Amino acid sequence: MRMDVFVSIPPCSGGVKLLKLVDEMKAKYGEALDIEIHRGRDEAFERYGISSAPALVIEEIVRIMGFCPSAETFENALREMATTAEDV
Amino acid sequence: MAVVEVLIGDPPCPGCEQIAALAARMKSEYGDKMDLKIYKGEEAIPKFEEYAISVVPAMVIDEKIRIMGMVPSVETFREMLREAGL
Repeated sequence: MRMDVFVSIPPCSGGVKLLKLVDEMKAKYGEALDIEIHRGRDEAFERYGISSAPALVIEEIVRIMGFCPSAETFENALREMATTAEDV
Repeated sequence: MAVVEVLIGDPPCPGCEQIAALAARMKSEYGDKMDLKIYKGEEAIPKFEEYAISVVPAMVIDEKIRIMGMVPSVETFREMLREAGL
């Protein structure tokens, strides 16, 4: 599952928290998650039309903008995008 | 006069947007008593490192870090300025 994580430069509290949460999720789900971290404005940030950081995009759909979700919310977002039980 | 430096991220988080708006509001109230500088994104990095700040939004008054990682209330902002002699 493809995931893009957007954080600001310099990092905000929410961005720091989200990066830690992403690390936890990566440790839990391993190769099932294909994660790219974007720091600052880049082409992807503009393409997704993101309005504030931090932001979480899963399978090219913007899921979260402007705050760090709870671990539960994060996993719910993964489940929403899973097509099979093996995805997550 | 108090020198107020505000460091915000780019892209901005909601907190960064709020603190910038709050600082602008305070500047309009305090006028020349307050020298406001807002550093955003890459231009904030030198200050970020100079003050050893860990997260934004951050507020430094007269070279002393007052706020990191959150937005102060209007009341708290006024108190910080009072502490700085305003």
